[in-house]
Amino acid sequence: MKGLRKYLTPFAPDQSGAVSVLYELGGIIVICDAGGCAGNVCGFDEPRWFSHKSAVFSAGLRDMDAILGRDDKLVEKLTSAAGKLEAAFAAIIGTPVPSVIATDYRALKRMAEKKTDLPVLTVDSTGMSLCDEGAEKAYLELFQTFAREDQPVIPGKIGVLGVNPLDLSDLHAGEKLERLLKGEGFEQVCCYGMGAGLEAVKAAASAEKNLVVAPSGLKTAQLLEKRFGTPYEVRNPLAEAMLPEIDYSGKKILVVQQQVSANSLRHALQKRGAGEITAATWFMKKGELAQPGDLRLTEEDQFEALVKNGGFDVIIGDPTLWPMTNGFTGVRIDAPEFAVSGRLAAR
Amino acid sequence: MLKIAIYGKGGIGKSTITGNLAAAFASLGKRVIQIGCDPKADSTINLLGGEPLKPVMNYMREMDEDPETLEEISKVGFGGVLCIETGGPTPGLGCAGRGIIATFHLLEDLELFETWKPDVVLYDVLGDVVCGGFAAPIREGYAEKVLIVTSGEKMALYAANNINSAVKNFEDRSYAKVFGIVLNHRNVENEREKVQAFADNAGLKIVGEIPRSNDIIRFEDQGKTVIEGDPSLPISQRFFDLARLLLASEGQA
Repeated sequence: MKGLRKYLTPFAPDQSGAVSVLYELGGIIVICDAGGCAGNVCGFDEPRWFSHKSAVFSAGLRDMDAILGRDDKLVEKLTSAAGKLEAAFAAIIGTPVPSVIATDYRALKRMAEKKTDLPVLTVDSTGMSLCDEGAEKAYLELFQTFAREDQPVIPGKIGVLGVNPLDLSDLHAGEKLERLLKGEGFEQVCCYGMGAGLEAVKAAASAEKNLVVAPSGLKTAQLLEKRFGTPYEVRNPLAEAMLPEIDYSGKKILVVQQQVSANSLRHALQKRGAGEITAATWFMKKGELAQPGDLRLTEEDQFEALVKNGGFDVIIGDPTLWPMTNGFTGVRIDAPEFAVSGRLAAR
Repeated sequence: MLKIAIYGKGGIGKSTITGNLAAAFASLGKRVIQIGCDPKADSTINLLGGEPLKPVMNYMREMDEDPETLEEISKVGFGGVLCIETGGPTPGLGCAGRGIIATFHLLEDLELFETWKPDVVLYDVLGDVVCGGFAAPIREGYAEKVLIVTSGEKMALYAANNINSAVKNFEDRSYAKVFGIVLNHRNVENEREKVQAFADNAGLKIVGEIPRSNDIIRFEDQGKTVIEGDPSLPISQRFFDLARLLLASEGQA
């Protein structure tokens, strides 16, 4: 049945992806909800909640606020918070309630900027898309707002887009990427949102090159290329480490990961002599990153049928997928995706 | 780009005026889009020979997924006017305002303005500014000018006043401004004086005046605007005058 989940938990929604991008950047983040979405973000979808402090609030919307469209009340609360906290910006993150009552984010931004003297970002997430779409919107809004024009290019500097725990499933992704890219000869590595802060975002134009490690960063890389002429490359240098040392030669392999990781795994597997490789993702499938035969998964039934009929020797994916692979006699390789299983896979 | 939202009491003649204005702009050589923002979905019918267009919400109801091309949810009518209707939910269910917002987001995704490159966009909006959805056409990025259609009838003027107040309330949000009143005559006694008094009191101008006309009814029966039916008629000239005035305000004359 369409949409029925028997094995998988609901995936993190777009507002969680948006918060994930902004979490470490020193702003006041207001989730425009009654409290439940903020609870989900902080309790489940943001693993840094337990280790990194960040000013994440719920707007605490009530029935009458929605019915009466009391945007002014939200601006008042935000102004009060801005007076008490040292914040570099404020961000208002959409959820199903403002989406349904058609909250005007441009007007909210205008009103809040006037009252707080802070730059205000708004992300029109709806709670009805998945986390990567929210992250994509947040990256765009962030760089559109803060990236400055007058930055000379620094040779050896690389910007990395798409680094967040939901897309990379690793709380040390920033440090690891920095180490790997320095090993490739880059002198300065800016993993925006995980390691590199708001000042790095402002100076994004000075990167010699951008690296996109998840599909959520692609549109922003394209924006930065258009605005500043910064070329970009798409690959996840962390992906190869997911592969255990086994014999892949001639094997038919299914890779289920976010698209950039899946492509990097495909590349690594091809180098090791693998046979036919199918990449599938539960998240966005960008046409420009896809190869013929790649799949966007939406239903459990679809995944079960793929495994049953695909004739694969190896499946690489989140361990919470394994109960759907009954009868599969090949090799299962654990590659946890936080956006699929949250802390279930880490447990 | 000249972007206009037309508001006014239900049944006051907004769609008739919008359709005729669209036809007038098109006859003046402009590239025009008309977007009907009413669940009734009959705004553009007189630009389409009386043939209704499938509204966006009907498409969504039937297909349960976003259209991939503009052609699936639009039709080209008289003078090349691109016609779109938001439509709405089954009466009594769902949320019509949300339908308007969803349609606007969809049109953005389909890059309507970038691909069609219109000179003029007309939003024909249901009745009053009743909620966020029905204010969407006057938000930043959409219409910049509002026309309020009224007759001299008391309830029409009451609605016109509500609309004007709502637009004024949105001043700090950088929404559209009221360009003026279009007086659609209903043969009310001292009609001009009554509407002029309202306009003076509200600090607005009467920018167009449409006399009661059997020609409008005659051509509507044929699924046409008067502009299409007979552009030389005096009633057609009233629409041309208003269209020229609006173009001049935008430096497009």
